[in-house]
Amino acid sequence: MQEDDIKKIWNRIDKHPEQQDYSVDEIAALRKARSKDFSAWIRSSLAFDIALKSLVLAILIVLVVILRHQPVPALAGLGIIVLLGLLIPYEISIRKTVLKIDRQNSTIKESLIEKVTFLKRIFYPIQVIQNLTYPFIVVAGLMIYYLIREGFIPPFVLHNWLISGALIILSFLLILPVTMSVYGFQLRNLQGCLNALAGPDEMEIEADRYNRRQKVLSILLYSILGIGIVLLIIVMLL
Amino acid sequence: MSRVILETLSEQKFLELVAKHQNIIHKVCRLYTADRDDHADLFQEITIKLWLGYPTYKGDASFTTWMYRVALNTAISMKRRTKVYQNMQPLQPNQDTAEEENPIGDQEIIALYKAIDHLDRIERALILLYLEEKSYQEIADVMGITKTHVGVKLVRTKKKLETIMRKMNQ
Repeated sequence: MQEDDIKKIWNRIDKHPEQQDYSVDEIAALRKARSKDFSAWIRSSLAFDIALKSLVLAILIVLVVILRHQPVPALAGLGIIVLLGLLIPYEISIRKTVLKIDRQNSTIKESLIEKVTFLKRIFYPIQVIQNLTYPFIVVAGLMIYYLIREGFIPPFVLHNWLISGALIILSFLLILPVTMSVYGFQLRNLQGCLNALAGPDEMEIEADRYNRRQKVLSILLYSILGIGIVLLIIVMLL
Repeated sequence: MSRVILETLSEQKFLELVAKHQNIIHKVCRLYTADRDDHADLFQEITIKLWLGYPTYKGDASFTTWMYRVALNTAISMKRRTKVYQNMQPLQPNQDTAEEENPIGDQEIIALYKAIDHLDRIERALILLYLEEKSYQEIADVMGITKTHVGVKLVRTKKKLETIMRKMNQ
C-alpha cells in the first residue's frame, strides 16, 4: 500500500462518523466534569492526604495539651506536630504545581520534559511524605488508646516498643509499594514517549539508571516489609 | 464592558469553537483509545484540558493547532490499553456518498486504524498530523521538535505504517 492510498483512506474518515457530534450544551457539561487523568489523581490523593494530616495535627495538638505533664509522649507529639506543620504546606505547594503544569499550553516535547522532570523530582519525597501519614495516625491512635485505657501513657517496656515499632513500620510500608508502582508506571510511560520524541541516547541511559534504582529500592522495601511482618508475628507469639 | 460579560462571551466563543472543531478531538480519541467508553472518557478529558488551558491560549498559534497540541498532550499522557476497538461494528457511512464511492471503504478504514494502532504514541501523533495535511512547520509547532526532525521521524513512521499495512494485506 502506497502513501497516497493511505491518505485517500484517511480522507474518507470524515464521511464515516463513528461518534455523534456533541452539541454546545453537551460540551459545556463535559468541560465541567471531574478530570480522571494522572495529574487529577495526584491532586486528589494529595488533597486527601492534606485533610488526613490536618486531622492528625488537630488531634495531636489536643493530645499534647492533655499530656503536657508527661515529657516523653508530649515531646513525641510535639515533634510530629512540627513535622506536620512543615509537610502540609509542602504538599499544598506540590498540588499547586500540578495544577499549573496542567494549565500550560506547551508543545508535546516541552510538556513531556516538564512532567517527567516534575515526577522525578517529587517521586521519592512525595512517597515518603504521603506514607508518613499512617505512622502518625498509629502514634496518635496509640496515645488515644492508652489515654482512654489507663488515663495516661505508661512507660514503654521492650514488648510495647516492639509492637508499636512494628505497627509504625508496617503502616509506613503497606501502601508504599502501591503508590510507588502507580507513580513509577506513569513515569515510565512518559519517559518512553519522551525517548521516542527526543531521541534515545541520554534519555535512555537516564531511564535505565532510574529503573535500576527503582528495582533496588523495591527489593529493599519488600525486605523491610517482610522483616516487619515476621517481627510482628514473633512478638504476637511471645 | 464588564468582566462578567467578557468572560461569558469568551466562554461562549470557546464552546462554539470546540463544537465546530470537535472532529479533531474525535480523531485523536479514535487513535488513542481501545473502545467507545474510553473514547468518550478521553473526549471529556481533552475538553477539560482545553478549558483549563483556554485562559492561557494567546492566539499565537491557530485555534486548531492549539487544539491538536492540547488533545495530543492529553492523549499521550493518559494511561490506557492500546488495543484497537474491540467491539467495533462496521462503520455506518453517510447514506449517499461513501457507499457509492467505495463499497469496501469501511474495511479499509478499520484496517488503517488497526495498522496505526501498532505505532507508538508519538508516531501516532505524527501520522495523525501528517494525514491531516499539516505542514512540517505546524507539526513542529505541535510536537516541539525541529522541522528537520519532523521530516526524519515522518519518513520512518510512514515506512513503518506502510510495512504494517502490507503485512496485514498479505
